[in-house]
Amino acid sequence: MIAYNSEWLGNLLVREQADKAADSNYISRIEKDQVYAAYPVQFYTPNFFVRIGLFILTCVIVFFSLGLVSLLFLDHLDQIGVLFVFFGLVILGALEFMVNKGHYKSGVDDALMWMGAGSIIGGLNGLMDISSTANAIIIFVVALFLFLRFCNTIMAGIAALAFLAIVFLVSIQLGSLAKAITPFVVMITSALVYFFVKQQIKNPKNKYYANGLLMISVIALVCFYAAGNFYVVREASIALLNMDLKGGETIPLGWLFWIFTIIIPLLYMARGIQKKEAVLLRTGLLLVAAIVFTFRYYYHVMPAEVAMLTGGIVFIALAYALIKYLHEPKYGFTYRQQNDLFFMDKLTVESLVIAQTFSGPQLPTDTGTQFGGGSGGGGGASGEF
Amino acid sequence: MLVYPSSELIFFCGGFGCFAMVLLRPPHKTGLSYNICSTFNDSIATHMDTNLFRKLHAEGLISEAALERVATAEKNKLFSLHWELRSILYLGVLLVSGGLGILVYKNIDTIGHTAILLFIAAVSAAGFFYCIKNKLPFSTGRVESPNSFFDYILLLACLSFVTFIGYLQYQYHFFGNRYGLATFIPMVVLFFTAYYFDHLGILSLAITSLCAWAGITVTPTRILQDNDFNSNTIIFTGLVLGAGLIAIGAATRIRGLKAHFAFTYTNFGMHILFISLLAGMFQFDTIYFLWFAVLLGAAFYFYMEAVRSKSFYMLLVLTLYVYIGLSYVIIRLLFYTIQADMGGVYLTFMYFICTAIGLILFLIRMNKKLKTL
Repeated sequence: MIAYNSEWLGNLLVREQADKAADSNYISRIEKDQVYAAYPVQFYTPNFFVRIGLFILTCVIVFFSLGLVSLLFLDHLDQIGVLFVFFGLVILGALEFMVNKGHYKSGVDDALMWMGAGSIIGGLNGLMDISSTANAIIIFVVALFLFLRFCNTIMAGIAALAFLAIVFLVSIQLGSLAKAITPFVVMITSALVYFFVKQQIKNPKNKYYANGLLMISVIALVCFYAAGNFYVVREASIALLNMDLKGGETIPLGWLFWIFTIIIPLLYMARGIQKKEAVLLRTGLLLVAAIVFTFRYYYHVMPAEVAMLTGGIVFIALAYALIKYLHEPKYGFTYRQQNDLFFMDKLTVESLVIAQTFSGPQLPTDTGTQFGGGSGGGGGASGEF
Repeated sequence: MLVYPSSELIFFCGGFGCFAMVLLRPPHKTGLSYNICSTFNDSIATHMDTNLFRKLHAEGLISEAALERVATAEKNKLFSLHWELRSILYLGVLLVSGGLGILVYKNIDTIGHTAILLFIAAVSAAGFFYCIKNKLPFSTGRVESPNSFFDYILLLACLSFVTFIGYLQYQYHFFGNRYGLATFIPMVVLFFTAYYFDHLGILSLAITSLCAWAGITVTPTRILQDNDFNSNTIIFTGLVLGAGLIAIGAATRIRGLKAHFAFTYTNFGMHILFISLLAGMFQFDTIYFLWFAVLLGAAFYFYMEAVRSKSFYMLLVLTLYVYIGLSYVIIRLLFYTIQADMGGVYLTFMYFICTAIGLILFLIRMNKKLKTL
């Protein structure tokens, strides 16, 4: 099923493990070299920057080839969609050819994959008037195929999103009862996807899909939350289901969605801590922001700046206390970085963030209102995330 | 509310340069790309498969002791909350500073500008005081920071100093219309700080403000106020600035004075120089060929540099800039010089396809060459 040479893919995983062990000095450099010699990888994977260059140039080639061919069909512009679909298939053929020649993450294969997918989907849309449900199905099929064949992580995410979109779009078209239970349908589907993927990730057969499956599980977690979020449900009910709600009116079962809104991220985090799972923990952490925004959207309990100040102080205190507490490992948790090697290069990353956020001294001109603002963005303390 | 209208271009180069600079780090192990990739990958990336190492041991590739180490490490593996705690801390700082900003903004009439200025000055002074107290002795080589908070505090001190100067000028017109002076002082302080404490991030800030200062200085006040600026002057300033930065970069490397600063200089200089050259080519279109020749000359210099320092990044950058320049020349030749019609469009498309293939082959060959060097 996978287009790339699976023996080399397997050897690549072995090499990665050896790299990791060598980085932490568990195995010596000589041992690492021995592992490398015993597990050869013949893929053509150039340097990262060369990969960027090859990506851009391949896109240029595909784009202008398509343009050149389109010029020949200028008289039949209404049928241009056929050309795009055909061209997309040709691109995917070229992709197979390049992969066969050993290209793996070389920039060429990345570019061909995206251009091919875009051309086919765009062509089908140009060809006929496609409903959004049908479009979701097309995207799902194309993305799933590319994920399974080329193990692409982002394609996996797109496929998962498209799948949940299909479920949602079908559900809201199935009469009034279906409309009422749409949030639950999407939530249940997301949960099923999540548990399915969790199971698949453990299967050694799927080791080449590990990153893609991880991506799907993140998407499923986020969609599970979104489908139960009060703001999302209320606004979607108004926009898509023609529910007539005035300013302060709530939705049926509003209380339940409020519970979901607040409890799900906390559950994610609790479970993440309990199971020591980074994906759950981090998704939960990110979704805490969604709780705050949802709540503040409907209830203005205090002025924004006071809320920011109190929230910020709580966060700093919490982080500071935990950092101090976990200085020595406790219960299998630590504040120490996984690999202190990265510590050395931290500064370089920061210099980027610094120069992007604060581009030198800012000197306003004479005109404009005289007001006291201007120094709003003082938070440059830690640029590392 | 515009910030230095005349130097937006240079600011742009600066931002772009910095971004590119970070990308230069080897992608698999360090730098931004690693951080992004690892964000959700940790649970897999940090996992070592003991069974695999057992197999490697059975194949005689690793020693018994190594296997033991891996197995022990895997058994006693800790779950790192580093990323999470840092994010919470960062968010907290962001919220507090944002909240304080709004609070001050709303109550400026009761607090008064002087009080705020004094506060900013106090923060800056305290930061510098701490850094001078705690710094390691100066050396012309690389100096490590004494602890992990040092760099942040130094950064805070510098940023609040820059804010202080900017505020002073904005509110009290401290420097009158001598905008050059208002940018010159922060620049000098930033450069001095970067060298004295050995901080690459502050060096980037210093170079950016050097660009700003150069942009301001060449632009007469009247033009600044009319918001209409002379692009020819900017182009030539960019040329001088770019070449100057490259020269400083080379000198830094050769003389060994903070040799690890060399790349930052060269990188800024490279982008500013190339963008100025391209801008010059578009602006002075009667002698565009001359500009293109200079562009090729610069590209040749960086090609030699790329080979010397085995820099894939430099190679990519110079390839793309030359490609933009070359494409401009070809399209101009086709549509201005020989006034081609529809055939010209076909030729343009063919040109792009062929050159892109050519460049791909070039990059693949260079990749091999740089790897074997």
